Amino acid sequence: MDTLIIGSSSKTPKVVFDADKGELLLEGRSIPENSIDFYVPLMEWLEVYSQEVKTETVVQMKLEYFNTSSSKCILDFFRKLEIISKRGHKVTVNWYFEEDDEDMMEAGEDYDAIVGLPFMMVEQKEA
Amino acid sequence: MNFNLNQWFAENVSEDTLFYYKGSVGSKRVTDILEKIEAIIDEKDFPLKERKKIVNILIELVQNLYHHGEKFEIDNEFKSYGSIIFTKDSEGIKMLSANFIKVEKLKVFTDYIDHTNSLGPDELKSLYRKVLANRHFSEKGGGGLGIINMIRKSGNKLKYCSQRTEGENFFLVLSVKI
Repeated sequence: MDTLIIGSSSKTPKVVFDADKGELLLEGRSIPENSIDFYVPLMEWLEVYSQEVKTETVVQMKLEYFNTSSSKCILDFFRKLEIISKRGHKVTVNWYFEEDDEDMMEAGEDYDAIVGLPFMMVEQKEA
Repeated sequence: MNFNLNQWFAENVSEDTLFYYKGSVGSKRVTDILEKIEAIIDEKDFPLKERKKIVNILIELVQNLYHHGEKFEIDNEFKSYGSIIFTKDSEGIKMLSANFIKVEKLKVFTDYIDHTNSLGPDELKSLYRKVLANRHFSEKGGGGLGIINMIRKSGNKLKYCSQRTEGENFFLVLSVKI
C-alpha cells in the first residue's frame, strides 16, 4: 500500500501515513475553512489501510492549532482507528503538546474521553 | 439613531489596537488576516500560553466571519462583510469581531451564547465533549463548538451587543477578553 504524503501549508498539516511501518503522522496546523475537503483523502487511505493492517498502528498527532471545522474530522479519523482497534489490531495515539499549552493538552484529553483508544499525552519542551 | 459603521469602527479602534480590519472576508483574506496577526504576536513576543490562546480565538472569530457574515453594501456592491479589532491595553487582551446577521438568526445565536456563558468550567468541558461526540454539524456550522471553545480558552464570558441597521440585518459584535 502506498504511503500517503501531503506537504504542509499555512492552513493544513503535513501528513505522512506509512502502512508498512504502521505510523500515521499529522503535524502542523489544521485550520482550513472547509476541512472535509482536506480530510477526505486521509479517510479514504485509512479505509484501505483498515482492510490490510499488518502491524501495530501508532498515530503521531503533532498539531499546533486546529479549528472547529477540523475537530469533527479529527474525531472521525480517530473513530475509524477505533474500528481497527476493535478488530484486534493494536492502535496507540501519541498526542503532542508544547510545554504550557494547556489548551492543546485538554484537546487531547477531550478526544481521549470520547474515543476508545489509548492516548499517550506527550509534553514537548521548547528546544 | 441610525447605525453608522464607520463611527462604530472609529469608537473601537484606539492607540492600543495592534491590528484591525474591516471589509470583505473571503478565504484568501482569512489567511492574510491570520498571518498578519501572527506576525504582530511574534513581534510583541507574547508568552507561548497567551499566544496560543490569542491565535486560537482569532481563528474562530475570523472564520466565523467567513462562514456567517451577511453581505453588506460596500461601495455600491454587496459583499460578505466582517470586522476584527485586536487590542492590548492595561486591562488585558481584547478581541472584537463584528458582522451583520439576519434578525431571525440573532436570537438563536445570542440565546446559545447566554446559555454557554452560564456554565462553569466542568460543565463547559462536558458540553464540548457532548457536542463534539454527538452533534452532526456541517462544514459551515460547528454546532456551537466555536462558542464553547472561545469561552473555555479565554476563561471569560463571551460578551456581545447588537444594533439594528437598515433593512432586516443587525450588526453583531462579539468581544473576547483574556
